[in-house]
Amino acid sequence: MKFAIEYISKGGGRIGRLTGLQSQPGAVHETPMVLVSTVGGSAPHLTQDVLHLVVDKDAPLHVPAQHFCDHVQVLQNYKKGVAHFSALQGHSVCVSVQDAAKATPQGYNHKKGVSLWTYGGRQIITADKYMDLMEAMQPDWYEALNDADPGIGSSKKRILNSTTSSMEYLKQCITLHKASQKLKGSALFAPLLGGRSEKARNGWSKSLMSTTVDKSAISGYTIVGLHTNGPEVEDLQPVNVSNIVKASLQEPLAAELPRQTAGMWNPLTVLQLAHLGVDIFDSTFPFLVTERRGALTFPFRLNRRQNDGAYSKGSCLEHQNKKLKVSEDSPKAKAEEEVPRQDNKIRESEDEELSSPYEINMKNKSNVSLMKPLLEGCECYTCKNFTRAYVHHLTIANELLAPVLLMMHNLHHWMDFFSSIREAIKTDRLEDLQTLITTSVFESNEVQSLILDSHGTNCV
Amino acid sequence: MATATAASLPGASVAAAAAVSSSSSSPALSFRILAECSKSKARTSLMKLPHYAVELPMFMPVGTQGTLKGLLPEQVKGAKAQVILGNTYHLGTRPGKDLFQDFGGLHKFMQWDRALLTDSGGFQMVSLLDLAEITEEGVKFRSPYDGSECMLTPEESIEIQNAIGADIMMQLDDVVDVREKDYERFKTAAYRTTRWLDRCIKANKNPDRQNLFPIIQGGLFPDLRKISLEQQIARDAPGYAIGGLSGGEAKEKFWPTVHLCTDHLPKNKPRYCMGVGFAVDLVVCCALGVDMFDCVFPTRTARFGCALVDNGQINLKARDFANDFRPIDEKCGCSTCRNYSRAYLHTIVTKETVACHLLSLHNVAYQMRLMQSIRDSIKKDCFAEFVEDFMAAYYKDQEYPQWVVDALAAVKITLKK
Repeated sequence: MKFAIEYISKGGGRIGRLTGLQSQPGAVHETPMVLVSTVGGSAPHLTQDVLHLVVDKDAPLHVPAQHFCDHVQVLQNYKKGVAHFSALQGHSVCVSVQDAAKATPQGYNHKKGVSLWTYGGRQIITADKYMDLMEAMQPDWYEALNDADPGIGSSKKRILNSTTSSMEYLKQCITLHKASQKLKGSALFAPLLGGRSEKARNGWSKSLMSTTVDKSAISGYTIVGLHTNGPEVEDLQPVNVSNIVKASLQEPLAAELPRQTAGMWNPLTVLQLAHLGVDIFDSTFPFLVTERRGALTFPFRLNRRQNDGAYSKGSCLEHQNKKLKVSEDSPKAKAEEEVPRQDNKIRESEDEELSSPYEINMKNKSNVSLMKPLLEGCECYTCKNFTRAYVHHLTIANELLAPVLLMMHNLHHWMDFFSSIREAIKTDRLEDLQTLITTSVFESNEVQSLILDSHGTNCV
Repeated sequence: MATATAASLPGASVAAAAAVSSSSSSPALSFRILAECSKSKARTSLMKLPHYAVELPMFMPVGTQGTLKGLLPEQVKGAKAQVILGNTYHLGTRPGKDLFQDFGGLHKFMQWDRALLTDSGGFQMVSLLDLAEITEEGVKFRSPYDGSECMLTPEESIEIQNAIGADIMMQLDDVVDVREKDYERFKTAAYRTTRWLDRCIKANKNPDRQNLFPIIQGGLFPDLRKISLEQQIARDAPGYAIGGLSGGEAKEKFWPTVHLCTDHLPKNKPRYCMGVGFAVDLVVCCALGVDMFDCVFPTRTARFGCALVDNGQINLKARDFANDFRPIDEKCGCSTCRNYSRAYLHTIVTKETVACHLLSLHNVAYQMRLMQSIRDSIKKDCFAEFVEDFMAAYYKDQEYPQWVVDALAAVKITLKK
């Protein structure tokens, strides 16, 4: 794997180029980029042909080791790796330890190994077992086995135990990685951990750069231990994570290697992480929004500046700056639409709909006869072909097509969001994008509590 | 002397009669036999409907609530489905006929541009609802939502079906559980079904673009079936359905009833045997002269991890498939078989929704491929051989069920020993 930084924006964020992936030697992926999250090797609810209606045939996938540790034998027999096994050959694969969409039970990791929860029950994975699995999965890149258990409120002792174990696993993985023929073309990423302690995180990063770790084997970093996966990650706001991520990324950590994170980060937190110089993200957010039958509607298109030349009226004018006329299709719509969220918390309304300010919930009865698409101006398959009324009908009828159509829309929206992030960074306007989303989606008095001082130091 | 017209020439009347008996035309349906089996009653035809020209015999997958189990319309088309079935009871309840009226029908709502058929809602109500009571007026029942007393009349059923806008609508019929023993109940039902047919015909607002099929009743009693046949045929409909079967009755009674109905139903109109979907049953009924079928079986069994193959089905949950890297069926051209292995399916079956979609797609494709084989063999006049080969492959050691042997023998097809 090769990663080159193309541009560092003074407005926050950086643009990179990822190439040299063993399964796609000719592919060039621009970062910040998003991986397609998977369950059991497939995009959630989407068969291969349907997935290809939404993403490119070489879109990189995120596959948790957790989903395949019960199947190491068959992968070894198959010999062609997990992407091919899942009928997604041509897509590159990144393997992480845990499934970011499911909360990892805390307290089950110890010296013997890391606990992975599969359909068959709990498996305790040692570094040896993990590397056997990596050889069978044949990822383009993967993270080293780690104990990132400490979430919120972990004791100093727990953090110390986790960093000690994880350093041990890392060294074992490096040794095995270097000795492995089958992993010659795969890239190894080291975890950045330390729970929520800035001191522990900074200390860990320092130890990664010390002589005790063979840095030549490390091609990138995964930021872990900020959470323990699952839907609760959505509640973490930029202010909750900014300082601890900075602590991991700041000097002496090598700045030229790619940084990756996974989890149900909400769009504003994603932007903050991109601001801090994170390069690779996953699609847990659109997936879990689909699971609660939400359709993403948050705006992300910045209109061109006047002095850039041609002023382009975006295809979704209603998502522009709030000062422009707000159409009835914007997230903050009136009467006939559902009650807009009043704050950033996930709130259960009278109908017990879990939702967020970034989406509309398709269970909501206001959709029942709406002939318009989920999101006006959206070019995804669902919005080009179906109405909100139909998706609502499918949702309350508990039909399997509901999550299919919602996943297609949400994944498309998420991919477009990242295009916009890259565009914003290239034009030094990442903060404008943060402002756009904040002001469109929240009441102004809550903004302060969400966004910390965006002129603070970043770690690009 | 009057100019001789074509109709008065001796040879012409035979030709005219032949033309009449192999084709028919109604405002919303035209039917033409393309080829017939020289031994059995099987035939292959073309049925032109407002939304699609359908090749018969054909099988209709069931898309109960305006969707086919997690598949996109283009995937269903890719599996070669021509007509899909929607349930009036479910769709009439939710989203309801008003929405269909506003949206211009189910085709637009679900983005299906081929043909649709709706059942009347009667069968669902009797089988799904407690306290459903049949009166002369209609089917009386308690709403499952608020417990209030409701009535589904022939008029109401047609009104909902008109709003849905399917190419073919089914009459509301008085359907009796086939295992019922009381002859008088079946007699009442046979006569009432005709009275309800008349009410349905009167209520149909769109005869120019929506066909209404009568349903033949009479249980397993040949004399009642004959009465129903005579009455229903007299209404000169575009096509007819054989109802009241596939409800768990003995196969020995099932096939003679179908055979009797197809003997009497007009040759030049399509015949639809409701609720038939197992491969063996489809093949036998085609031999008996049936053209149209529907069944939930292929999509339902997919949900349990079962894939249809030439000699039945395989359950992909079984450990046998853990290391089986072949597709479900090497002969199948569906996208599931072109891309996915049994081993992969084994890892996700009953666990991830994707497995359900992949199996539903294959099972629908399987049914379509079976019907295509049937049509092709009739065109080449080797349907009898096709049936022999099919049954030999299906029943190992040639242990054919007696009913299959008898049914085929009745139409001059002898199975291999």
